[in-house]
Amino acid sequence: MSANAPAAVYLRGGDAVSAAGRGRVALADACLALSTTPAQVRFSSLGREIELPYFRALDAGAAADAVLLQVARTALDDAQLSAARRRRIGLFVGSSSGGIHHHERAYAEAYANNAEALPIHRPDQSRLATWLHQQLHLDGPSYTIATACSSAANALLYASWMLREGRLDDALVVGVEIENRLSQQGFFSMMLATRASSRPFDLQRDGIVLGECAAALVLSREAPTAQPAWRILGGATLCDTTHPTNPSADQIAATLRDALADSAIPAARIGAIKAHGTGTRANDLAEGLGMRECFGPSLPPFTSIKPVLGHTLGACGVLETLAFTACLDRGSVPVTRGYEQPDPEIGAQPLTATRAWSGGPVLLNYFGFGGNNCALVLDRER
Amino acid sequence: MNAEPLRLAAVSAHERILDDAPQDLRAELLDMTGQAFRRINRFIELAVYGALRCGREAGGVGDDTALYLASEAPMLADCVRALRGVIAEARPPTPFEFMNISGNMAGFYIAQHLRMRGPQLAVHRNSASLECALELLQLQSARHRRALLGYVEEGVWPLAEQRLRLGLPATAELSESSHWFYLDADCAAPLGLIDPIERCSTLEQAQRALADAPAQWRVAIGHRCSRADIDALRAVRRDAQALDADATYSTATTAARLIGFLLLDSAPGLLQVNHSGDGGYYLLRVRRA
Repeated sequence: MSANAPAAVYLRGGDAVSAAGRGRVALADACLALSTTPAQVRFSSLGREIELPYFRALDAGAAADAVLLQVARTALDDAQLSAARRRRIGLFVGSSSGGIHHHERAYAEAYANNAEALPIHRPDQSRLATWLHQQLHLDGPSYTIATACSSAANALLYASWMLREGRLDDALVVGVEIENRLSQQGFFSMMLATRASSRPFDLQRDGIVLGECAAALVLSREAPTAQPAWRILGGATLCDTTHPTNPSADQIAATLRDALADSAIPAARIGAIKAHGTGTRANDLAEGLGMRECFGPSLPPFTSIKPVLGHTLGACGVLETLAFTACLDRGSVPVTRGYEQPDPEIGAQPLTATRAWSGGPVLLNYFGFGGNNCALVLDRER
Repeated sequence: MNAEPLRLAAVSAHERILDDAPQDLRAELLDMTGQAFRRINRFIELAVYGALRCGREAGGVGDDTALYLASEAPMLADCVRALRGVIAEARPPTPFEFMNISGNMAGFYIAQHLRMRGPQLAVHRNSASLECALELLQLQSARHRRALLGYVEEGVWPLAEQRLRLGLPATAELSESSHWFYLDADCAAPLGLIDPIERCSTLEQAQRALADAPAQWRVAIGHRCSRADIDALRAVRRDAQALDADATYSTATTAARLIGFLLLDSAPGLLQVNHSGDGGYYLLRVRRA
């Protein structure tokens, strides 16, 4: 590292509830054993009955807010901060759908009793952040970032910059996406949801499988007391104006290069990549070509974990960072579930077998509608 | 932390009290750009309209410009329509209806039109979202020397329904607006300088900051402060301006106040205290260059 290397930002604690179950261990188990199974959701569209796979995280009837609070509390406990530092921690929430599940349930109940009922009362996209802030008795600032599927990744990135610049000592970064009909039906309308399974980078890929989760990571300027010590070295977020929903290879490559530059890490040192890997035609093609453009013939091994956890939309930044580092702590880069046939247009293949990982910086990609490309670089100190 | 003040190079303000029919912003956009904007919602129209006007005021923006868009309740009309479709009409949202409720879609269209490739972030918050966006923007200001910062409030029709939704009296006037700021670290003659945003944990700290503001400065209280906050802050500065309780309902008061100060006021500085919505207070300081 250069003399001007930025201050270290550590992952100091974390927890998640996802289709894999609860916690880091469950995430690593699921990603390495490919053990999750999606549920099926049904709805009507233009007179047809539609059935789509969906990776549920919550038991039927579970209160999503209570689960989110438990996850945030466990992540804070895991970080072992002093009471004073815990109080003044900065809160960053990233979510694609925000609190739409609340509005949807409230409206469905109200509409069942009164056909004149209004959708959405007291709109507030920071409701989850405000509620968590109150429940956790925090004094620090709170932020709600909304950049579609890169929301929580941007929340991680901006939180890490706040720590790096000395504006905060610690940050609690939360990614949350709770099941709602609007997202399920919206992706179906856009013809981006597969009725089968997600197969990122495969020639026959035909869409995403959504999932829900509540995930939290505590970032700190101080290394965790327990092993291992993951650091966020840096990252980048850039706007891609090619198309509102289809990223371009060039802008993805620019984002990856910026992330490496921000982290002061040469491309050749990257040991593995967690791709965004949604399983849509457009995303995977642009991402594959963008990675090739950035890394040239020495493209590091890459994988997508969305076929195991589902695409948790705006929350995937936190969930997949937690899951990927948990896998690496087991010494393995997980295989990309469902990948069988190479796509010659992409010209690169994700891992078809679990690969041993022996250390070195890793790159994590996250992209969102509205041309929001984000990339993070992490490394394990010990 | 980059402690340099942000240099305000240009601003634009669009604000309109709502009546029964929306203003035809697409026609305005067509006039401005010669390009037909289709398949975008009201929020995006307002954002693009304001940002393009600000870009013109600035004489163009650089392609490395970052974009930060703050709002309290973005894309509300489309969210309402989509929820009504899914729940009441058993109809999935249309692709554009769904796509356009993505938090940062307005920023996409702005960046596309102005050919910007810097970071693009939407900051949604029920209180002090402009202050929050400024805080995040300052983090990146050393790297991206130019930024467009906007605050957009969307009109949602029918107005009677919107008043019910917001818990407002049936006679309340509603507004929509699009306020934009172009910040350029290399601007030689800025309209004003924005100091790093400061956050106080307690009302006492906010009172001290207000008491310490130079006597010639304009001092103001943000619209998220409670009646009790206003009384406490006025106890230390009697001249602190607060929103008139009978004024038109607007969440854009901080943005409007900032632009009003820059363009219409002669005071050497402005300090606004606003409640952060999470127990603290934001201090926004703007000075003449």
